[in-house]
Amino acid sequence: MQPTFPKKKIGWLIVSVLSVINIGGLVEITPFAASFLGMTEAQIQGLPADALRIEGRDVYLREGCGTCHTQMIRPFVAETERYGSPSVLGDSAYDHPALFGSKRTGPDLARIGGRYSEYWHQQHLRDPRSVSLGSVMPAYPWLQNTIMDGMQIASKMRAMNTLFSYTCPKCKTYSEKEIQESQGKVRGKTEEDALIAYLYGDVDQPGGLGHRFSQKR
Amino acid sequence: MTEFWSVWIIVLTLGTLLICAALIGWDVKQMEEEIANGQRSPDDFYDWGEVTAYDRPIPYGWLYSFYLCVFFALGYFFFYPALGRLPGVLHWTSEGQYAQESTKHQAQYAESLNRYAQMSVPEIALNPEARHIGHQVFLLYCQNCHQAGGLGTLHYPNLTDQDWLWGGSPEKIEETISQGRTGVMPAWGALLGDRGVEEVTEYVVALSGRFPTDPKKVGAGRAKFEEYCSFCHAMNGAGDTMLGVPNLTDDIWLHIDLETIANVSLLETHLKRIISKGLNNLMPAHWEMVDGVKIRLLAGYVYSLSD
Amino acid sequence: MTHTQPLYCDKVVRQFAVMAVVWGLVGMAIGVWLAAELAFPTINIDIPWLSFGRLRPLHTHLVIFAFGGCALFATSYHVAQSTGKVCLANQGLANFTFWGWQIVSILALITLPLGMSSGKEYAEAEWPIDVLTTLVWLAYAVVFFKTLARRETLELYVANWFYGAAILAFLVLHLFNNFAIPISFWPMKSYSFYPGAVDALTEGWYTHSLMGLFLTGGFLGTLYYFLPKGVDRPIYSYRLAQSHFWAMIFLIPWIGPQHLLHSALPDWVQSLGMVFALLLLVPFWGGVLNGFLTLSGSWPEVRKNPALRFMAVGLSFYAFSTLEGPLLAVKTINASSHYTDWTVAHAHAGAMGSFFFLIIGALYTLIPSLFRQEKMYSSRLITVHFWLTLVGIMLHLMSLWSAGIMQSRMWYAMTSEGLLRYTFLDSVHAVQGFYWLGTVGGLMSLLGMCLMAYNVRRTAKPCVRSESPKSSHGTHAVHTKHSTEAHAEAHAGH
Repeated sequence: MQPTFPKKKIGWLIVSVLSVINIGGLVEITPFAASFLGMTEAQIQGLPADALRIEGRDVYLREGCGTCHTQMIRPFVAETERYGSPSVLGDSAYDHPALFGSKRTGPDLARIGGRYSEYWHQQHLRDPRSVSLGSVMPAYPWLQNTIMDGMQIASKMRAMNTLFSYTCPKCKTYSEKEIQESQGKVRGKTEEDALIAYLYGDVDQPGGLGHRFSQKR
Repeated sequence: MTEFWSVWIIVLTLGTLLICAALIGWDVKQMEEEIANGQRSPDDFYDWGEVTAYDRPIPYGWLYSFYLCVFFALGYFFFYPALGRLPGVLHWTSEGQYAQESTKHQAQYAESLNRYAQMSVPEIALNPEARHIGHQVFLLYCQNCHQAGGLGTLHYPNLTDQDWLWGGSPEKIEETISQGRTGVMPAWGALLGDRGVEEVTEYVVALSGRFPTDPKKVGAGRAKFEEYCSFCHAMNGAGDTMLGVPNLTDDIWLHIDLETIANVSLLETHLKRIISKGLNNLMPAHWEMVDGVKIRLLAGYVYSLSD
Repeated sequence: MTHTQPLYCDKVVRQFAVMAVVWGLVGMAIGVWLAAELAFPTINIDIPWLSFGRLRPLHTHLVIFAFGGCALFATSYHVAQSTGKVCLANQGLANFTFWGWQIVSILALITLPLGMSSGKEYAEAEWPIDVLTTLVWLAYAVVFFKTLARRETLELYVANWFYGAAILAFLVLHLFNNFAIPISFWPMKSYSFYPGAVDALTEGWYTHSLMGLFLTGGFLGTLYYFLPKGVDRPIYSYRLAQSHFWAMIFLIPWIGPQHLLHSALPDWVQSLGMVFALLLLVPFWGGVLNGFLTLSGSWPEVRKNPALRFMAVGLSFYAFSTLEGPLLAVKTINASSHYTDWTVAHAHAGAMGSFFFLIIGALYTLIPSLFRQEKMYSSRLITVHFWLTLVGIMLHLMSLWSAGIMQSRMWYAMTSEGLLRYTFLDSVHAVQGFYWLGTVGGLMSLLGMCLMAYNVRRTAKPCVRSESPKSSHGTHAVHTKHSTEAHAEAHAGH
């Protein structure tokens, strides 16, 4: 007695599995991406990060900061008291990839822009335990010794313009002038400068981590 | 979300659920029929050599549990937003839930805080319960910089002494906490040149009551100080609490870690760097993070630290 | 049960099985190092490529892809041949999959500590490695499915369905998730094509389908072959296996949003993610039922055979984790558990408790035959390995669960005035002890893994006879365990 699966038809197995496993993505990701494309300028919250902050964000990615720090504040009073108003879609519209994170070994960083001075970030990065007693964060003293040459920043900005044009029509893009001047803004600065610029954000013109603590007040 | 995508989601979601449930149910039914017809028996046995398998019927408990879950899923979709634009019967949203939680939280705790709303900062400083609450606010929002007990460290003032950059009156303390402060000193390296920076450094060391390593430069340093630095630091170096400019005649150095300085020449190295490159210190404004009563309580606590 | 195995084209199976053990050891060692860094944050002595943020992606890559991947290759190649009674379809391509996969793993080993990470969870390897992975994987699909197509048995054994789904799923997941714009080849750098929350949802889709289709698919394929073979009993219900296979394939790709509950994602997506995760409980438990009912009556053998014990524990953790997972997907529970060490505990209960234990049991069963031995060099070492790992993982899990609950309680606690009671740093201090304990547990498991490496090394005496050089074309006779004369003839012929 044989089971009823079509006998030698491996092709059927391949086609049916491939079709079925794509349904979930088609139902969840595609409509969401479509509505994301329809976001208004007001929802997108401002400008993309400038040259130095792009480099800073790439240092954040390289060092794996997202393995311990999240950037997604959930709509609970306990979270908003501690971190600021809940994160919205526009906060991360310029991020490729997303930096939401999945674990808080350290606190959420979505709205720390402007909450700590540059000195604090310097001290904290070079030796976390000097300002946060009992912290388990590793020290990052090598960042202050690496001087950037800015060779890649222009191509990064151009790549981002390409990405924004496909994935976020209402996002602002980088002007040609900004791209030309970008290497000058980055060259000679250290990676620590870049990362701190990213963390500190730009409180008046949000981009990266520069969002005010509360969006609503 | 457009109507198209909404329908897309509804059709594919319900379709997937129902097809999944139906496929399995059909399979079970088919097997039942085949057993009834004698086409197969529950003891059928397949052999692939290394492994073998019975083809027993699917346990009904398993199948009905799955149906129960499908029923739960459909119920959830009925009440909550899941199917495209359909909001669900309860019209629940996460924003709505948060707004409710916020309001409830405010209402629940407003009373316990409002009894302090009429107290002044000095009154709070004298009241143990009020101080305790202020201390709790301090732990949550201030300790990362000002450290435990408000003792401060490099770049963050000691709140327990009498030295106040922006004034130590209750009103000033409350203002500082609420509005934040910036501590900006321009970079003088380009204007003064290396020699000029050294001269001014020696004068500043002398001002603070220590002995400079090269006293010959003090005179020239004084001249430059009076020409450039006195605008902010005042002629006698006493500073200006309206602008947050420090008093240079005391031996309190906010931006130099005195524990690491064994001698004056190390102090001078740090001073030269500061004069040359400037400073950009920040205390963030807290009016967004901490609402009115809590700021008052915090100010009361801070005020009590320096008593 | 006879121990004479048929001669299949198992050189590449052997290679993958050995490398699974090697990468398992390396991946686990890095995991223990990470645990130690949480307990002692300065032990990386300011060396960048030893820091937590750089090595965490390496740990996950090696245990999922290097260890899990090699084990998947080894077991699937073996099962396809054994249940089809046929040799691997294309020996050259199969060799390419082996060497290609080792290069992928070594490239990850080098580039991830240097910080060349895409930043996407469980897909951090950068674009050149992704390209090589795709090529290897396409070759794998060709070898595997062609082998199935050439089989001599009429019916396709269900384990192959799970392996096939794992292979196809990973191809789709890998290609879509890693879609990116390259910036430079060295250092390897790219930016994900997807923006912000869309990227996050794609990552969630990828990570959860990776767990559910790639890892669980491989797990169930391995379970459905090595468990009945190990206890020499038939699977309880073939039909149940088929049913829960289809239910899983339909439902798993929907659960991505459970990673993103209470986030900025729209409510409808979150609802779907949660509900489908709950729906999956019963399909997963199809496998649990089938497994335990197959084992029923064979517990004396399980007690005697330590490899079987590994598999039984793996199945038990699978039962547990497939309850824990849907529980964590419930929004109310998730509000407490998300971002805490409870999630990490769940990952380890599933990936290590369930997958790792089962794979190790399967490898201990498979490896002797790959080296033409009756059994592993030392059964006692397997027993020691088993107890070390079981106690180790329980210590590790207990620490992580405790830390997770502690964190969530402390993050939410309020004073009577409605202020937060604890600072974030308070919660870090509170779980320090648990990080120590977890490290101890990890060290025990690591020691057990070292014993396995030694055991495998001692079992691997040089092959008495090599395979037929014609094996890649499948023209030599395939011998079954019942045909001893033909077996002897074939040996004489070589």
